[in-house]
Amino acid sequence: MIKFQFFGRVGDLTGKMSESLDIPEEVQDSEGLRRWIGEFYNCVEGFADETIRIALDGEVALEPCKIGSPSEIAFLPPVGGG
Amino acid sequence: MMLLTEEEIESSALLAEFQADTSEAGAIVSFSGLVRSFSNDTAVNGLYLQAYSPMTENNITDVINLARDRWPLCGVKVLHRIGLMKPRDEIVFVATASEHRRAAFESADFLMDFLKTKAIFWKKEFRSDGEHWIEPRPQDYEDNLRWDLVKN
Repeated sequence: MIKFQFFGRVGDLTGKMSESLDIPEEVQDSEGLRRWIGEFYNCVEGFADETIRIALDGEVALEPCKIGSPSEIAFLPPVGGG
Repeated sequence: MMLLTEEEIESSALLAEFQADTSEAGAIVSFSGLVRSFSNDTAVNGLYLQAYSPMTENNITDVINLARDRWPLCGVKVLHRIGLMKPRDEIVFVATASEHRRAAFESADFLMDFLKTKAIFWKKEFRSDGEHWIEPRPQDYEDNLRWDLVKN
């Protein structure tokens, strides 16, 4: 299982801040990940938004990229500052 | 040092502690940021701040180190509140100490401009017209640009 975290307005898309999920074997890269998670939460357009960055195990990914086998994937919209 | 906390910030106690810890300083500047009661004339009932640990802490620590490289500081303290807050709560406390005032003023200003625009927080306002995720104001970005133009 991979721990998914959804920050800021991404949490509004999923209705939750985090969830542990298994991703299908065919999901290998960032593009596939966005499409799959968008379909999973029924908001493909929301997850296609490139202002939302992906972090793999706490490191912001430079997309397009391979997903590998992280234990945590986070979706980070533009930060709001403090 | 820096700390994220869900507890209330009490800046007067923090400042006294900071002053005691920086006995060699000739100048201390502190800044306290409060949760505003209004946002563009709309009443704010609460504020929620999310952080992504340890990315948020590491990022703030990196910027504190940048400030230390740029100004001769003998102390820096940053406390940032996260979680749910109400209007007038203290959301941030920044203090800098140096031998002379200019470095203390400028470094505190630099740290606050960073915290307002680039720190890794997501912020939701609970207003009389609904809930809104907030992004930095154009003025906040402009304030931050000053530090790219000003030479050390």
